[in-house]
Amino acid sequence: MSRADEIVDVLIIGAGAAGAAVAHSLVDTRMKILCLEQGDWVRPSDYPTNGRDWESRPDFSGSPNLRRRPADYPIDDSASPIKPVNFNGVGGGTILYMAHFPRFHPSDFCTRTLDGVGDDWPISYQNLEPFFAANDRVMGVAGLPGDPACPPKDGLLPPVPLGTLGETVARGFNALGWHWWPSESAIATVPYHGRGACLNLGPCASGCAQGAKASVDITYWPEAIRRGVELRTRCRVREITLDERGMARGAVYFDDAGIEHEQRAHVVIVACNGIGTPRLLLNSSSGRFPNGLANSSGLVGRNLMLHCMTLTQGTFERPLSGWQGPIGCSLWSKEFYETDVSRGYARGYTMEILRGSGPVATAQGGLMRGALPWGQGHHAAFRAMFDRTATIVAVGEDLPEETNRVTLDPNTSDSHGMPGVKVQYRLGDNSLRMLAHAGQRATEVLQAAGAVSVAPTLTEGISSGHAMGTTRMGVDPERSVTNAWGRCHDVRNLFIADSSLFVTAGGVNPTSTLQALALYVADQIKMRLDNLFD
Amino acid sequence: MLPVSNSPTHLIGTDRRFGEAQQHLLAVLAGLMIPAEAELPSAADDAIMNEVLQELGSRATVVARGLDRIARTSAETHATPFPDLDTTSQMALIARLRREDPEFLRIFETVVAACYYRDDRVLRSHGLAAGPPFPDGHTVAPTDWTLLEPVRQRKPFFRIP
Repeated sequence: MSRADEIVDVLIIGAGAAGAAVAHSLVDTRMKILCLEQGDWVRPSDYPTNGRDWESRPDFSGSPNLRRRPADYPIDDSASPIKPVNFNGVGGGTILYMAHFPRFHPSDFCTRTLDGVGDDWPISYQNLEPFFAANDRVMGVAGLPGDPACPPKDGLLPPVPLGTLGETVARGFNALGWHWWPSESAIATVPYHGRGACLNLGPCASGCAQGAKASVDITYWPEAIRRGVELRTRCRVREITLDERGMARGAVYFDDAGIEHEQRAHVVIVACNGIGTPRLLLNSSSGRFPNGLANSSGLVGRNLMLHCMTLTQGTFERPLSGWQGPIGCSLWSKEFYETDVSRGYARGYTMEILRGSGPVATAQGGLMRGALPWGQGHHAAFRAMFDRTATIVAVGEDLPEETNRVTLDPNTSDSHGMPGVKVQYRLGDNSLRMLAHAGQRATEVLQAAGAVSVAPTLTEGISSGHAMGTTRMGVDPERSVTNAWGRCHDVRNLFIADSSLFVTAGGVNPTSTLQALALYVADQIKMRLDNLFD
Repeated sequence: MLPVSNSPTHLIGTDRRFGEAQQHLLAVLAGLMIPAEAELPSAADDAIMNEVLQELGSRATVVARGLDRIARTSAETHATPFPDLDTTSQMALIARLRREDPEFLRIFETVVAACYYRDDRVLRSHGLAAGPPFPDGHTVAPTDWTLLEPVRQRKPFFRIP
């Protein structure tokens, strides 16, 4: 264990999907690596599926405002139609994600060149391809080779079974002649690297008691720690400090007892996700950086992308066994992923078919929508609803807009007095046109699959753990926060390694891509150790 | 007729954040929301209400405010306590409350649904296994991948810049 006055080689802030990948990669260098994580380990026995209240545990809610664990910080999302979710602890968002694991497409990295919208990334799919593959090997990804919508990939585990629900909706896609394919999922469908095979528990989004879902607390971290990385939990970083030369000196953090320390480091890597990373930089203002650390461009916190989304639900006459199996991993459709200008918008979306809800979530959702009445009609309505619904979520590419942003919220604070954040986000015109298209297409699929009714599509109030773009990478210091390999333009030993770097959002869940990017950043650091700060 | 007694329910809960009259009113509301039917218990069942009261305890301020509003409105509009109103009048008052204090009803419905639909008797009545998913899990039938044949025949259509 490092001493408080020891200068470590690398300080990583955040033990989530990106921080774990960076630590795991950099351990090859034999440098002294320390990771500070504001949350704690989650024990498998704590996950809700161990108990009869498995559908309604607020301490495993995705919303920090409902969860209110000591490690959480408040997020004011009142000015956003999309509601950000996260998890603060070892594993970060992978603790509660659905493990839906698509990669960005090659076209996602050059939207300006191809479609005249967004911006081009300074790197390409080809740059990341080996890191996608390396990440897949550690996480363990189930899927079926041969998807004509995506570049080929190797090493997939057997796919997650579609179940009655998935097969039903797949027939709808076939009837329309539209693309579908079993979702690629970070789920061990067979025993994999010490993890047990998926038991089809269902609610992956409240954690996996079996350990089949690839959360990084059970994939990357055990090996990284065995090989020498120190991971210090319940340590909340308040501020990144600078030395007299304008280089990062280290970080001030509160330990488990609330005692403040400064941990010094030669290199600081921030991996706190698309909301936590700008929060920390904005809270690290100084005389040199009065508007937040590494923020001479003014872009820290801006260009927030959350994905625009629709949720369309169809009801079927027969049971679908839909709540049995990984809820977020059934099948996807990329029929409308790539740009087709005849549709009236640029870029596109993935349709993801979710499995059904358990009895509690079915009842709560029905009551919220007014579809489940009080009184004598309640039971009949519940029977007609439970296990008979299929949901299509369209995950659409929202374009970067500087007015969509994360700022510090002076009205709220976490358990150590550090400001919470305010999210300001509006759906752009392109997003609104895309959402209208997606809702219509989802309705058509459900009807083609035999739904007896399809509820009106929702486009607001949907949760998203896909915060991206708030410290974008690029070659122009006036138009980006970091260079093409994650080093801040303003502070040459300060790196960012998470989805904050994204230049555009793609139309898929970001975890696979952000981890590949984290491995790429780590690899760039390793290749440049002799002149890293030049 | 409501399937609940108009006398205070005999709750075994230890939560003391609600008075006896408040507990009774909550049970009346729960029974109104989910009445008994065949083998299905009412949500006003003692065991279910015990859990409802415990979970609502963390939102006691909002709940107490909602209950006060119900009691006051019932007295003002009908000169009768809410539990003694006929079902039609109770439902009308709930509809009014939904407009005037949606937060209370949202919390109440969420908690009652959670406690009711995890009750072993309710789950068994719907043909479901009681208890948590772990460790037994579920069996999902193997997939008929011939469904993919039309898609397999397509040429790659992702763009290569």
